[in-house]
Amino acid sequence: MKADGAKFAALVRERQGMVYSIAWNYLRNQALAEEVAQEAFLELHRRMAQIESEAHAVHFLRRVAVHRAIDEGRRTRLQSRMGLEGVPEPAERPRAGDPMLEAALARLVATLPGRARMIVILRYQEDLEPTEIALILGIPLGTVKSSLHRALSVLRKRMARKWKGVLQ
Amino acid sequence: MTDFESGLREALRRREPPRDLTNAVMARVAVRRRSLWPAVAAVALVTAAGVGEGLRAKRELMFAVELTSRKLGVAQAKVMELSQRRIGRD
Repeated sequence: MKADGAKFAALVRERQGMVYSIAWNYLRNQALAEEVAQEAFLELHRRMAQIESEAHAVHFLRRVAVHRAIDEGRRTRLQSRMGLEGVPEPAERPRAGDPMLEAALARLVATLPGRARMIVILRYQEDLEPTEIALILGIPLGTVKSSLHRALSVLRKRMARKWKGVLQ
Repeated sequence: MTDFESGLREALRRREPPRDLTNAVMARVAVRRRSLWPAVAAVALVTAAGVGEGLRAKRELMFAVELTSRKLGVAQAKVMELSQRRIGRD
């Protein structure tokens, strides 16, 4: 693909939500997520000559955003310590689709270890299959499946401890 | 899909990026392009200098080959002359 100015700007506009959200959901910091997103697009621009199609560009952007976000998380040691204790107590029992419940779930995801957190994000934000996640992270399919299983089990337990019976 | 997974999907849905993200990326692309020009010019200069140097070396080599060829011609003529004389004496 050619790195033509107008076309590249259109590509950025179209894919910025995906790239920014991967970084934001992982880092939960707007400035860092924006920096990761910009870096991912610059990397794509540098490699445009080797990019064969739009699907290839999307895969490339996802891969770069994922690895940059993980690196940034390691660098800044941005392991959120906010567990369920940090989630405000609801005034009444939340229902599925409740913004408070969503915020609590997002915060719980942020307490997962780095790789497990990224696997959950790629599965539920990007709706990717475990095979695609394995390809992006460069890890065996079995590792993705077992990490996902363990992560969901931990999240369920923690949710159940606080809000029994809200989500099954 | 369970309620729990639907909840996760909602919690991790895509976020609206900052409004000026595209402009920020394009500005950095433009800066990168500008900063690349001196490097491209330098490479072109070095390449051109290399080509000039190469041409000069080629000319010198051709001259040396020509000179060697002339000397060899003279030596061959001498050898021929000497062998003719020897044949005449015999």
